[in-house]
Amino acid sequence: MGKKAKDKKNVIASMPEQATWTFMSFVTESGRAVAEDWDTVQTFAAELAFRSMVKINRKTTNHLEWPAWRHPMDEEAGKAGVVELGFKEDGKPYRFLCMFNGKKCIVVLCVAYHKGGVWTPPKAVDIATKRAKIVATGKAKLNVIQIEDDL
Amino acid sequence: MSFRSKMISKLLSERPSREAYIRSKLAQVIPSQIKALRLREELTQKELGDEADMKQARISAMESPGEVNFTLQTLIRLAAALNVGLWVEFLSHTEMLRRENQFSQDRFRPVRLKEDRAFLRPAADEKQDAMSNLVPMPRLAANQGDNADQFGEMALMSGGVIGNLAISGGDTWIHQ
Repeated sequence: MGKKAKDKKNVIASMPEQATWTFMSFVTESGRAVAEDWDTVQTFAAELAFRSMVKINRKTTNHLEWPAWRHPMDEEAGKAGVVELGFKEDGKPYRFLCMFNGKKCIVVLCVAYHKGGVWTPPKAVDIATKRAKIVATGKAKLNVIQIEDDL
Repeated sequence: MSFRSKMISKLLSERPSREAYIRSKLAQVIPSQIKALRLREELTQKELGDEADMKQARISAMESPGEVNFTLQTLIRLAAALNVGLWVEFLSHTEMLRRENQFSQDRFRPVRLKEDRAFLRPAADEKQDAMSNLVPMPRLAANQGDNADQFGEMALMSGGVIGNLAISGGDTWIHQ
């Protein structure tokens, strides 16, 4: 090993390996990536909050410790593996219906609001369940949600 | 136009967008820190609530992004309940982004007060305590005075187990 290579080795900081989750978006038949083009009003503030949520969560090993983690869904949605993440922004309770897909990978299936037991769009859970089943077949088109560190 | 270009344009032109940007970071990072600290202490939300004189539901809300508008008093109370310090400062957007990128909930482990040796026992105190454990050695003979600085080195080189040497006010002391 040359001197230069040795020197380089000496300056690499010793850091524990970070958990890295991959966040993906379900892509509809029409080519719409649902995590980029939401089923709800997508304000600038909510979009920023979503990006921050992904940035923080993807580095946290245990998904149950994600601040945005809420719970697995009940009934048919739950059986299909749909889980709920969420945050509040613009006074609205945004909900991200997702499913786990392989090791350290989570797929956003539908973006909705949920307030007082009312979903917006009203069929958000059904939509997410249907999409989860497609993902489970392995035939869904999925996009990686790229959040750069310069945002 | 990329999202970043759109964002920069909004940040430069609109105060509400700048507020949204800052809020988007803090609304994630603060709940993340509270959750990390509570889990490290192996406290339930109810137990942390009891420590901080807050209801469990409020702790739950504070761990959920965007659910709570934190006041400084709330953060101070939580920090005190969790036995850590708190610092709030204005800084550049570059620095804010750097800290967000470096933040890891898994690795967020500020030292608890009771384990914060640097705070509990500052260097001056430790030095003072160390000095109180010293016993005086006989003064060096007058004709050795010019070489007094070398004495410690000589003693150490002799191989005797004498502990650490400290020089104070012309006297030589040995740690016991």
